[in-house]
Amino acid sequence: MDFYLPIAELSVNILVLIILGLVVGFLSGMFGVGGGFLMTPLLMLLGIPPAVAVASEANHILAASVSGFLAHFRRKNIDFLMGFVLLAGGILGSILGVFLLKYLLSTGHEKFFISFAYIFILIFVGGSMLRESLTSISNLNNGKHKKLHEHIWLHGLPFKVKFRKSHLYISILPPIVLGFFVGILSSLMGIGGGFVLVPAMIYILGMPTQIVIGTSLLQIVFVTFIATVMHSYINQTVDVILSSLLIVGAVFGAQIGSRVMGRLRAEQIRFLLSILIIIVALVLVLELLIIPENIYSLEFIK
Amino acid sequence: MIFFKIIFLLVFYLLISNHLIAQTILGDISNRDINITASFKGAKIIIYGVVDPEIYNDTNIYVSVVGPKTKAKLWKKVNRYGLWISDNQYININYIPSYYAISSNNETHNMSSSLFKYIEIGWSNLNILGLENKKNSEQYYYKKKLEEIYREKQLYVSKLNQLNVIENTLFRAEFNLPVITPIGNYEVNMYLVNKNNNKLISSWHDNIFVSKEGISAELYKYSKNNSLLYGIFAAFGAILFGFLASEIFRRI
Repeated sequence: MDFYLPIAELSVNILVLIILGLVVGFLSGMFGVGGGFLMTPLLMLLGIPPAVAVASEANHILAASVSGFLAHFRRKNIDFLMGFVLLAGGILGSILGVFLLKYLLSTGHEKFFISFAYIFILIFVGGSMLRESLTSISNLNNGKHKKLHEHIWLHGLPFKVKFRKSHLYISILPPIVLGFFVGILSSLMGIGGGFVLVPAMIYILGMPTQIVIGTSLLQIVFVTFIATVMHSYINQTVDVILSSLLIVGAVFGAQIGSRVMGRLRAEQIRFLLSILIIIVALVLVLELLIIPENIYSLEFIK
Repeated sequence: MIFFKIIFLLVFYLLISNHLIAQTILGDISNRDINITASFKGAKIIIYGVVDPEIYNDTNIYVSVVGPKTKAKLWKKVNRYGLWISDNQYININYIPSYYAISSNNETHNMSSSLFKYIEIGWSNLNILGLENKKNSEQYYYKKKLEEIYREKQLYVSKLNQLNVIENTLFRAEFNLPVITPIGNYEVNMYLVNKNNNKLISSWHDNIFVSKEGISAELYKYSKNNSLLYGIFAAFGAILFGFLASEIFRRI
């Protein structure tokens, strides 16, 4: 059954979109990632214009992350103090990101820049996560006990605050900088930023995996809210029919995902997420390596 | 169905045969208003025509549909460090029809005549602005690339030599509009050309208007005219959706 998308200006199969939403929603509930880094390239493969894909994705992630956030909220898996500290940096970062994107657009090198940013970050994040999760899985099997978290130089910074929920007593500077950095990426790449945020919170801040997911969703909810409104206002590229169809699948997927997560060990979740991230990175690399069928493409300007 | 159409055309022909002496070619369109609704799957344009049988044997008939003119960017992927990317490599097209369809009753051999350039018959004679300051060989190359893209998107339909003419007088051209059909005014043209000297004998013109209708049209308009409110509604709609889903699941 086909449906005409008013903003994207093409017809797509409703079932395809709902299933896409379901699968990505499942992953978002399970891993705390919004799924934008998966969905945006998939939507573009369906022929949806990149600008519309990115903007409608923000709206879709918003619904999925609200649903995921509430599920984690009920299980009390959220460190609100940490979430708001991250968000303070995140809002500043996303505003700076909008201006950075504007500058990149004026130089005309934005596509080049974004492709490389995507691949670099996905491989870096996926690779370090994979290595760490494999180490801790083998440590567990060997019966070795892991420390609650490693102490690194970041923990020596001033402005220390007690994050009770995360069992941390650290400076607020690292989370603010982290939020800031992820905020920039969100604006530039049209993503929620969970796939960067989640590993960074685990490995840099040393937060427990179960708490990280709910807390990162708090940041994603706010960032995608701003992105939806801004994209609609500035570019008129949010297709609500497209995002609604994705949302229908996603909200159910997210609920199932967050239930499945409760039955998995933290190391297993990290291992699966790292595999997923590396697969997406490899697909993106392959797409850039294969000689395109047609090196020309046309874009109508209204 | 086809039988009725032929009857209709015969009556049509009898009614206008007097005018035809002066006009020599006349036509009609099945549907002048095409609405893009939520269930839009593309549309078919049927153009009926009638030509003076006395002169038919000396003529070629051309039927063209020219979509709304637009600006475009022709992006080129380049290889950087072994990777294929779009890196600020594009040509600005300042004027190009967003859709083009052509049909004729005969093989056309001499497409380069000035008449064909003037009435834009054939892809190579289309008036495309933005390539003027390029070398001739490059202009030809980019027109060819544009043609390939248009064909792939079904925005270019070529039915040269495929127009069936009944009894040297009645004909019908059919073109498909794809799902991505741009909205706006489409010119429908018919040309009767003397095939011996490539001179225009007569022509006929009409328009088709493609517009959006229903919920998709309303959303489109609202997103353009009230973009801030549209964004706020979209955002709160998504939050409500997520909240409802989470409430429903809590109870299951």
